Amino acid sequence: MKRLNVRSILALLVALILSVSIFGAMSSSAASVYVVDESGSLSQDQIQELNSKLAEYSQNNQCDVVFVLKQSLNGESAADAADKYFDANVGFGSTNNGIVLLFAIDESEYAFSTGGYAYSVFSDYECNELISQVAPYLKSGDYMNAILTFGSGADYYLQHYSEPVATEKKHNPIWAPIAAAVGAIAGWIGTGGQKAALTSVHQQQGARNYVRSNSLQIVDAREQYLYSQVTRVPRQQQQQNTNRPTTSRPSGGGGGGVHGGTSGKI
Amino acid sequence: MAGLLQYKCPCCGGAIEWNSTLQKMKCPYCDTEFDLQTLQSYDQELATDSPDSMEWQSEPGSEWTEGEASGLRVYVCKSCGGEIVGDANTAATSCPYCGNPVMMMGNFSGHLKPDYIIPFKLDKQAAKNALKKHLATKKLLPAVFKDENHIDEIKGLYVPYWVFDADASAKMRYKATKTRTWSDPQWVYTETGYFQVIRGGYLGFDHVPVDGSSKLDDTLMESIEPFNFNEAVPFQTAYLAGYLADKYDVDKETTVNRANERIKQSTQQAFDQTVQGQGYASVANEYSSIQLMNGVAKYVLYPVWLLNTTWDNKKYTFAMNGQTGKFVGDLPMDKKLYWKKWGLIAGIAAALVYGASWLFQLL
Repeated sequence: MKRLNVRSILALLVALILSVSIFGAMSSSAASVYVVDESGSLSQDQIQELNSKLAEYSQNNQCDVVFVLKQSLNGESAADAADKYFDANVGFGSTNNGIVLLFAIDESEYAFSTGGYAYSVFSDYECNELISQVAPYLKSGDYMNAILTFGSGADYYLQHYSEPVATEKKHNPIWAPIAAAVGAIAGWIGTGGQKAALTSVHQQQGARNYVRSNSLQIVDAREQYLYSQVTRVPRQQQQQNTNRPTTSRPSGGGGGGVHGGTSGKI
Repeated sequence: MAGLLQYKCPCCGGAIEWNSTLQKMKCPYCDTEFDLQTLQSYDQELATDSPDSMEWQSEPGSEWTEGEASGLRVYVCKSCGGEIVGDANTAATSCPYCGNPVMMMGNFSGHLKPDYIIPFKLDKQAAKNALKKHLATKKLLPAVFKDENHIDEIKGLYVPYWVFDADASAKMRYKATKTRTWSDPQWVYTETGYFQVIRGGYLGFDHVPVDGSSKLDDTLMESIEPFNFNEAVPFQTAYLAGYLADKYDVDKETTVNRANERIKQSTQQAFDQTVQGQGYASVANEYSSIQLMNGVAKYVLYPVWLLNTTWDNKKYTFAMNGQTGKFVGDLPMDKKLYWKKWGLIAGIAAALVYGASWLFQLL
């Protein structure tokens, strides 16, 4: 009995350890590197410091926070490049939570790519707020502070995000009189035909039945131009929205992921 | 006293009448049929007969008030001697005692003789069937009206009509617009061009009818139009046999106003159509002048079945075109049934809309 008990306890422990490790693997980060510098603008020390900072934010929020610094996009769009990087390297846990901010120095273009939990957190508003704080550093080439600002900002939004509470929709009372009015009109139309059928005595309009066939002769048909007026109204300005939709867009990398985010030039 | 005319059957001496199905004269007693040509000579023969001269001793009694008796005419039936009371315009009727059809020839004398007549093509049974059909399709008709409906009277009546032929010469002026739209990056431009459009020409009308009897409702008589004048034949008294007939008591000078009104309306519509749909954005008539030329009026008799019934102390008159079978007549409405149906439809529609509004909220 004792042996059995010990074996049972051991089996349970092994199962527990396996479960925890599997769960841990599932909820772990896909990103091993949180700061990528393909331009060589940052020193190794800076990269290490920034990497540990973003890793901390990522672990705390269960959401990868990644910054990619490129020298050039080489014809690719910033949004596609960010999405590609996200699909290949980023995603915390089974829902692939993560946010990537990619910046290309030569083109001065940036793009956010979000996924999983971050997809809900970072709407256009949050992305625009973030880039407005980071942009001055990016412009001046102070990438160290740019990445720190991005990390702390992302951390702030991730910690302060609350799921939108579904507000209880109140039924608009205007529908009651509208329904009554529609009912009255439907009743009037529905019975109108039957009511009209009771009246068949009508005065004739004109003498159409007695027009001699082919007797209409038009001997004078003229058109004289009098004058003209020109009016103009302003054309509706088509708003050029460079923002990418934050609700859904297919992955630029073709990985099948769905990302949110915005892009633009600073 | 006005002279009466009956067509006697050469075979049995019974009063013969016009059969609308056979389109011949037929004796209802011995079923002998006669062509109109035969009856024409018979008619001429009858014309040579000397009328009865019968003098009546006036009975004591109260005197007619002024104007009361002026419209009445008393006739004596040639078959049974019964007294027939009609009015000054009664031209044909039937004897209330023996049922024989009679014509008051005196009522045609001194007035215009009808130029044409459209003989009855549909008989009394057709009128009864048409009434049944007329009632059967009305959903808001009180059920009791349908069930208890007894026709008080059905009479085939030749109604006096004036028919007018005329050529209308018209000149119309319209103000019309055409629009053109274009744009540049900043503005959308609309150019509206204003034009004066002239139309002049002619339109012919044949046989526009206006009823010449003041006893009949003009609107009721217009409702059973149109009559096909192509089937009209020169007037012969033989056609009146078996039917009632009135001579006109509204002259053509009075009725021509209604004809003018109808001709003007249709001329205006016909000329308007030559401008509308010609690429104009809008068309408004500014001036119209219509003049009639070659106006000719004819005095004709058209066949009409009149049916009278009384329900809820109200008289309902129906009319059927004796040529085409077009049947008209206003009917009473079951108000309770109307509001019940209205409420049902309104309730269902309102419930659907209200339910849909909740559904949309949930989605």
